Amino acid sequence: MTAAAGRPFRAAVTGFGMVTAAGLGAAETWQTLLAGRPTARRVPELAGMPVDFACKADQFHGDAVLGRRVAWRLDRSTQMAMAATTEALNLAGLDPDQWDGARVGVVLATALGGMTTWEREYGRLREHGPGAVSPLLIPMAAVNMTAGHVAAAHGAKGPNFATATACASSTTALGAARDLLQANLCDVVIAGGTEASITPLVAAAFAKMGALSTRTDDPATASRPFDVARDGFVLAEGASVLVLERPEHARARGARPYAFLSGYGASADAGHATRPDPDGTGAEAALRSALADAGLAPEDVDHVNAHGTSTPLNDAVESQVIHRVLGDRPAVTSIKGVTGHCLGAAGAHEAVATVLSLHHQVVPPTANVEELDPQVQVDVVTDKPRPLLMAAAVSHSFGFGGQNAVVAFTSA
Amino acid sequence: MTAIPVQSVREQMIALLSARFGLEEESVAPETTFSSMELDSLALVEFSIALQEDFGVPVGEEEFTAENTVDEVAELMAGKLTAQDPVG
Repeated sequence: MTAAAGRPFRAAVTGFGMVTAAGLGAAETWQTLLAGRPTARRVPELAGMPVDFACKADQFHGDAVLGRRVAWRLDRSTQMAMAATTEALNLAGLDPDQWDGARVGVVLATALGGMTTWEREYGRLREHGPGAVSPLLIPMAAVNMTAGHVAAAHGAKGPNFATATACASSTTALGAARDLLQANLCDVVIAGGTEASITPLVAAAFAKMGALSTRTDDPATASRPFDVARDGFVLAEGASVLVLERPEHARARGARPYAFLSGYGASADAGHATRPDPDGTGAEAALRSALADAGLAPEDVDHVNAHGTSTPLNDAVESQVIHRVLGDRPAVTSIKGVTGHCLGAAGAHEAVATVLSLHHQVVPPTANVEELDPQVQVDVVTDKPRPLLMAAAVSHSFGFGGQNAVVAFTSA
Repeated sequence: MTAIPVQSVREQMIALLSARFGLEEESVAPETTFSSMELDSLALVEFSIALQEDFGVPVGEEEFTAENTVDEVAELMAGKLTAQDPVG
């Protein structure tokens, strides 16, 4: 629904949860974001690989958080999503024992699925033959299974699916979730994304594409969105989950929204498989569509939580799009300097960060910007958090495949 | 041929159930069935693979069911181990 057609539909964000390399939980992650403290470092999983560092949530142990009886059946990506969901529901004050499960949807994305499980079991097939392959492989690792497991854990019997648009996957999930609420198919949707793909195969593949930073001598400064010396993204893992509700449902139970998800836009470059459209035409279309959906004018946007991957191309094109559509007014940040690039969870991480920015009226800095790329003609927040009066913010996600998704949030 | 004692196999099996599936060791008795441990059919297949690797003898997934007890499977394993014991 656009502004012209009537009042925009606003989904209330009443809870969120995070597992990131920057912290267990949204509160700890937020503090690390505000401090601009990078999390990339060498990880044992990638020992001996050309790129041997990543942003790993190594404080997270599924057995400890969920108990071995639950955790053994779940890929790490699902374990993290389960933890983030519990945190989000607790923050929202929702008790699954009390809700009408038929009205609760789950839309949880992942770009690649349970890669650690796929790779482990493929290794067993090669080494020991087909008899050694786990019967749990498919229910652990298929991309839809996180949403299925979360639903089963909480009795969420409404629409349930994964979205897959590569690095935009979880922003797409938020858009789909909002559609379910707007269509009145659900009262509550658990939405977000997860990724646990720090594996040799994934790292080798992204490195071979030239997508990863090769700053192996100084991993902590490798993810440097908008910096002139950026040379690629840093692989990360984590999960973020948001609780979205129909506003009247939240109001009726006395829940206070942290912000509203007020608009969503999506588009396709319909061009090269991995290289963004050099003019950013597709990204611009998604951004304009999200603004129209939210009933926002370009000059209403106070803050952009950018896709800002730290790749030379993305950050150049994205900053051009921001400048062209929104001008130089919005405060722009990319949390990937801290978190790295979490692929299918990146959009959800950044959505939570955007909600927290609106809630606390402060924009976290982009880490590792030593010298802003002179081509980047937007107001990038660097060095320290910036307190700012904000009513509206957008978060961009652009996936390989030319898949673009933008969400617009407004303050509560 | 030296018979492998069922008791030592049972202890190793219970340790394996605990490590793989998070069962409390003290909750598993010789007469406990797999169904009462809430291990479903896929979990039992997983367990048969784990047994095979842990004990180093082939175990077919059809050789036991959810209604077998721990000791019934321990006896099965002890028999396999005894039969393949090269010293015996």
